[in-house]
Amino acid sequence: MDNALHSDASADVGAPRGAYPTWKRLLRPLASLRLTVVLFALSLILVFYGTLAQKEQDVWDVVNEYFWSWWVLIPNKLTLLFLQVFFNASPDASWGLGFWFPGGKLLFWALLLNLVAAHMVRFRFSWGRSGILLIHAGLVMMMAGEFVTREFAEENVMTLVQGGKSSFLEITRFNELAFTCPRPDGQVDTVVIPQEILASATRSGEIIENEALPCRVKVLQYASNCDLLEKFPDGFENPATEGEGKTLALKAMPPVSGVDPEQRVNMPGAYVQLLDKSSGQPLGTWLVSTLFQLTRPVRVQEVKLGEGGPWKVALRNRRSYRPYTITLDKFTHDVYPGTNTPLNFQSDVRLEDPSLGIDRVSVIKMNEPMRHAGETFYQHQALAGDSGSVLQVVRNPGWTLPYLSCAVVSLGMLVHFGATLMRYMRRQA
Amino acid sequence: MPLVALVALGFGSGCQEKAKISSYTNAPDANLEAGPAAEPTPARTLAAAVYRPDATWFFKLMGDPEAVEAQKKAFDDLVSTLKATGANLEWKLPSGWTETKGQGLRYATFKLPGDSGLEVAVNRFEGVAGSLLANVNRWRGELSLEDLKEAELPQAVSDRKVNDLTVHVVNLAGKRKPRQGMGGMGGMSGMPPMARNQPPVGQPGQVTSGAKDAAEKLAYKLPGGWRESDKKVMFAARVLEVDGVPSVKVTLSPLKPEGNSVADNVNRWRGQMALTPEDPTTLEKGLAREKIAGGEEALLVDISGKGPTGPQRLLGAIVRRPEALWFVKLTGDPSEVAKVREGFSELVRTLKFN
Repeated sequence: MDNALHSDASADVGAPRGAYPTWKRLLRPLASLRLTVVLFALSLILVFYGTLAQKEQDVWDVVNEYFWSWWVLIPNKLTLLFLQVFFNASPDASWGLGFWFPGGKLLFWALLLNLVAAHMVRFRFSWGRSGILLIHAGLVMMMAGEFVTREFAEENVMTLVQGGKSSFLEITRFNELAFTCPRPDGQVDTVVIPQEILASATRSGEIIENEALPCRVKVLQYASNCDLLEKFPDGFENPATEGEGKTLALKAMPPVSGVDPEQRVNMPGAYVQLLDKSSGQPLGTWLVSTLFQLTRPVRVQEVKLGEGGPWKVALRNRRSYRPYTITLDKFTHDVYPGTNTPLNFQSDVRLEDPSLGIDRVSVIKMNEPMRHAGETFYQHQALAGDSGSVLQVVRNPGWTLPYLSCAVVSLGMLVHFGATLMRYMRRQA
Repeated sequence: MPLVALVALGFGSGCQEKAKISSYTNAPDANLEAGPAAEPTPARTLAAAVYRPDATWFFKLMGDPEAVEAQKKAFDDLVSTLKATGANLEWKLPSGWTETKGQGLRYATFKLPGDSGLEVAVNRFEGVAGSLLANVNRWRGELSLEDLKEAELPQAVSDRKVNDLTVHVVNLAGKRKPRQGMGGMGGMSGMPPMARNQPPVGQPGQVTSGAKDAAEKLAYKLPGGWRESDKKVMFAARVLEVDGVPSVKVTLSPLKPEGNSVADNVNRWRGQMALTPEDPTTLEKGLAREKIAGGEEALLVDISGKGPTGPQRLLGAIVRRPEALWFVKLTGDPSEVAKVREGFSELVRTLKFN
């Protein structure tokens, strides 16, 4: 493939200027093979540092910072870390600051532009080069697949207790502070503040106000990952005046690293002070954390907010409601005889979707997912004591693109190398 | 134009929707707020272990305390019928019990009468599947009971002589922990420690910090031509070399005393020399002994077998100390080991723990 590119590129060298239209001359630097090599080299370096960064950072933070960004500030301590692990650099050394580097998004588009420009400027279609064209088309399709996945794919979970039902998915990478209040008709009024606003308000010290909120909210502390201590540390001044925080202390923890052997997830927590909506008078400070969502029954904190209510407050995984409802009729957890090694996890569920007129039962078990409305439901986890099931719900409109692109690249390689072989055999004959 | 479109698409991509406060009405979240709490349930375990030279056998009945207690006599009757036939065991089932052939790790299953769903799991593991203490503590762990110490084992285990077999029987009551979720997939909590020809519980990895400290107090007199090596051998406190016989390797290693037995480790060495394990209940009695300078007694081992590269001989000395079980191990080509055998004995005799 490289030889073919080279021959094309060298064919242009020395060609008279006037032989090309202006747009082609303008595009020539963008179509440069040297640029391709530089971009690949930069991509390698980015992958290297992105991998190193996962030692201390959450994998999704790294994806966002390094690969789905235009620029990334790579801290020098990553280089030092590498030198310490592999080249015995002094463990006491400390390297501050960092350097700016092109992010994955910039390299992605630069490579794509480079490839398209090369085809517009240097390549001329011929049957002999159809293999190369197919290979490049496959690569573009692969890039498009990543783009579609990143922009449109969803990976959520649905938690169901035995006999319970749910019509919402949880987006475990994000969280929200939710205020809920029951209505006379049995429904629930819900107001949610997403984590981005909570984190931003912590930094700025601003009080969060909104017409829909039943109160004003001041975030005293927000930790993207935390532990809850049953024993207060020495000298701890408890900001909480109400609820669970009176007996538990929040301890901020470093984010779960991308190489965490136990593959844990961040469990955020916060101290939130609630203030009267009209007077601004403090009503109390609550400790909230997604850790409270792990208990069964879920620990719910009621808040007295003057009129209306009773309101409840919780920091929980971000939710996405669906038009369908799934009921867990039965959860089965079989083990290999004589051991606790899992043999089978199985959820017998009922799916009701009035919008599509669907009411059916289905079995979801390992490697046998259920599909509905463009979403795939996989058996994911069991709740403690087999009291329920956690389903992973995946929607990826671009799921076929990687397969198609691989097929196209394979076909391209077959055509290209086949044609080369044929040419060689003809010359030998 | 395609380029312009690409650039426009590129710069427009990845723009996530700006986070904002939102409100909506939804169905109550009864699903999560009403889930049953996962509590341990009372349970009883009747178990029997038989250590044979070539295999370890376990018989276990676990379930509701009252239901298991009702089957205690039948379980005792089963134990009293155990009999060795060659490499296997034979038994006679109590009335009403039915036997099905096991699969995977299980050798057989005895279904008990009634609708209690009780069954006896029979497992057979090649070689020594962990020490008795380790297995009893494994069963205790399943019932949320604290681990026993070696000295407490005789009170917890009843040893029965049945048809020339020694059957170790336990009767435990506790609370059964709820099974964990898929996060624990692949866990081996139901397996005996180090089953299936794996090294038994006496792996050097179990060196305690106390034993490491003990290494500082280790003293001995080097025989002529012997010297301490700069080489690092994992878990070994000291590595010694002998001039002129480079193939011979000598290590002095401490293991934590809890859960480690002399028999387990000698059988581990035998396994390394491609030899079958010996009966752990009688192995230690058959070892030679030598008084060391510190006043303790060293148990001596001399094994010849096959190593990874050919014939091999192993000389070992084991000293039981309160803070650690000490192992002095010399391995090498049989002809070279013979040359340094006297030096090894001399080294062992001068061992002292200050």
